[in-house]
Amino acid sequence: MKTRTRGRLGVSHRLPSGTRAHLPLREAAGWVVGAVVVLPGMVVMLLAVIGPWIAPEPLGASVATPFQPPGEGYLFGTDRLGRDLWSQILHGGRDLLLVPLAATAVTVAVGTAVGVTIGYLRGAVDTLALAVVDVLLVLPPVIVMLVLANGWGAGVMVVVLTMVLTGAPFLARLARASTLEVIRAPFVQVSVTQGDSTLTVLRRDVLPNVSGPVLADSGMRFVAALYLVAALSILGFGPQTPATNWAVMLRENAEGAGLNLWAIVLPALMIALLSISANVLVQMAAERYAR
Amino acid sequence: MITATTETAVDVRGLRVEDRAGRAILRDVSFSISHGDRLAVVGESGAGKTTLALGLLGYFRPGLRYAAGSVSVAGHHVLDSTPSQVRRYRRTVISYLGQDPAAALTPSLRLEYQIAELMRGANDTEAVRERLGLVGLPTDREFAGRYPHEVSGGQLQRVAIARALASDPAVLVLDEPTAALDIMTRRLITDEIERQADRLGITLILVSHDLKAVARTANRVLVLRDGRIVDQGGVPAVLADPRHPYTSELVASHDGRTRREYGQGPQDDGRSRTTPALAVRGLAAGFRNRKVHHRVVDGIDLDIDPGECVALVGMSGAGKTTIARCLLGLHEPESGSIAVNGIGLAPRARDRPVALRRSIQFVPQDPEGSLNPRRRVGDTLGHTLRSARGLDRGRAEDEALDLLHRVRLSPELLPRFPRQLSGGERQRIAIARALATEPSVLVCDEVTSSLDVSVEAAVLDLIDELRRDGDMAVLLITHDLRVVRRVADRVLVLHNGVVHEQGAVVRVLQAPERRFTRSMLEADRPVSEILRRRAGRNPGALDPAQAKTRRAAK
Repeated sequence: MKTRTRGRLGVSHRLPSGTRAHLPLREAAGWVVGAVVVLPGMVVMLLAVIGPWIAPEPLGASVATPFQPPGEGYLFGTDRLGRDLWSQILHGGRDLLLVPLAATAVTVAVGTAVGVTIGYLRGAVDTLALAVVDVLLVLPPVIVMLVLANGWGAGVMVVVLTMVLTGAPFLARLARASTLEVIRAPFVQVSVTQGDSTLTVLRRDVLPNVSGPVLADSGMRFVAALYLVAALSILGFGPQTPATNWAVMLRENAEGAGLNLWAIVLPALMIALLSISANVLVQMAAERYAR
Repeated sequence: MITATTETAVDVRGLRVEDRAGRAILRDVSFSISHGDRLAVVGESGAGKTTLALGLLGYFRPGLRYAAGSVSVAGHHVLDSTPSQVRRYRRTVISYLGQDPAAALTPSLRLEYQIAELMRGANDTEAVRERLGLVGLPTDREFAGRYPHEVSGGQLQRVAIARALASDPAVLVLDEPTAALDIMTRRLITDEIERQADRLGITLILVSHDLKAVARTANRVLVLRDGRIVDQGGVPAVLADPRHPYTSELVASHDGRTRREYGQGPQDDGRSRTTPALAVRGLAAGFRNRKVHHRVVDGIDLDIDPGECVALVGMSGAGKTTIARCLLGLHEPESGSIAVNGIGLAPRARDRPVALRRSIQFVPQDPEGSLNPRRRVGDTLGHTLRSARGLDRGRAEDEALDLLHRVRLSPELLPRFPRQLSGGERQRIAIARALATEPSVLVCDEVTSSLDVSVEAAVLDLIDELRRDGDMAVLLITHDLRVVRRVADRVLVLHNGVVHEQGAVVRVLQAPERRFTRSMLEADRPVSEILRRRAGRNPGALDPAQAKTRRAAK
């Protein structure tokens, strides 16, 4: 049940011969990750949420010549239509944070519910549901999304539905495996003999004890959802001008990379930081919780 | 008396180990033993036994670090070595056999490979099979090529021993390798280890809370309490005539000198008048593995009166736990009937009305798994009180406090999580949880097997008291006769799934009629008697010179 398996050669923390210099280094690595990834990542998340309120220029306003390099009044220069790049970045984050967040929440909820239920009930329900889960596992997310988008048009619902169809099976498998382990514990059997209903057992005994691994995995689901939204935008199904997000900016500004490199580096950096830091944050939360 | 010469196998000086908060787990531990010695480290859980044992291997659990002192084993200064030196040391000089020897084996590798990988020098198939033969296992090719899941539990233990000995270690550290076994199997395994140590001149470090095993095997003993050595010396001297009060307390509780007087429970003549709290008739149960059917228990008849305590004893695998699971509705029996207070119970828990489910409760074996690790104590108890007894929140809180009082725990424990409790406290909370439904029958499955003797006594006394006050029938499942003597009125000896012998505790344990019961009693002699018998034969350890020659010969 414990997810932490941090192996450490607990020989000594003194350094008589200098051969164990890697140990303090390894401890320092934690701080480096914190300073280089988590801190900027949190800033990116914050900017994504409050960006539209603090942006110097309104969304979609052309203010100068296209692909003007940094300086001359604009922090990172301008983009394809002569809009202030920094303002566009500030306007384009919410979409990429909130849609994947919503998709992840629904995916985790559905996947965990299914996994815990079939793991507890076993029997024919389990066999049947597992077969369905295994079929869903092989579906390629982007193709599923394009098919759905073709029918219903690109939108939040399509992203969420795609994530549930392709991401929830992973969580269901994980939650089922953890459940099988948890229900062997005597305290679950005691609950049954005390008259608790199946739902109560699942809620009180099983769910809290599988949430460690589930939480750890949900960071990966967020990144997957983020990539889906980005892919949708890069393929042209995303928000249409003047609405924008970082992935749309990547696509639109690719042609001007020679004139203002920031026009593609900045949105790419923002997406990378967002996905890495979201994952690290969830990992940290999961580890804290699993303790 | 002992000087640090080459004769010294293990020499520990002023060892201090702390946790992250700076709290000392071991303080100023110093001792030294010669080659061929058998040192027992005894003490209650939390005394630092395992920390000391692992410290000899140069390993400290995450969160612990050594603060001062030195450990030297066969001339190796363990704590000043580099990681690669430590690894080589663990592979060649010292060996460790842990609490669950089966866990030392990788499930997906063949037995022969797991032994060969640790052998020095020739490790061809012939040599490996010879090693298996030495610990009394089959030497044919088929057996050596098996996977761990294809051999029995007892054989697995022997493979683990062969693996621990594969590197021809000078020192073997045994961390309660037999704690989870019944007395009969325990004897076999201990004898095997002793024989091997004798043959190869190995120095043994035996971590144990079982003084009987210590009295039988060791020649030196070291008593730890709160990380400090409170007593040490030769085995017959320290155990037969303990100087330190703590040691004498340990010996006393082991010999069951505190056993209660027999015959306080309801007498045979009074039984027929009342309806038994629990009545079992012709219970048979088993498992279906693929097409093969294994009958585990057969023809079990059992009556327990209100306020009576019946012990169910037998070796592991005799079917004790299967019977408990049938009673609780967790395992469907093939035939037979179960009735509580004269009302028949459906075979499966989910088919039993909630009120009936609550009339029979159990306390599980393992204090680790008996409570939900994610729920606070107050939440666990409160939920049972609210759902099973229909109390409102305020009443449930009062009642939870009352339950804690009944199991002799402080109300401060209510907001704690199970991991913040000791094993004994957890077991009492598990009892409190069972009591919360006001059951007529309480089934206790090896509730004390992982507890220290003094805690065990307290838990057993509690059970004894509760059933007297509450007129509760208790079925006590155990493999430990000490437990039987302390609380049970009657005893049922289970052997190979059938009732081998039954009767009042006094009668069965003092004048056993059947062979298996006698051999069980044989294996359960008190410490003083073991020491007396020991005096007649070779007192255990080898002398250092002899140990050295035997090791050199290998």
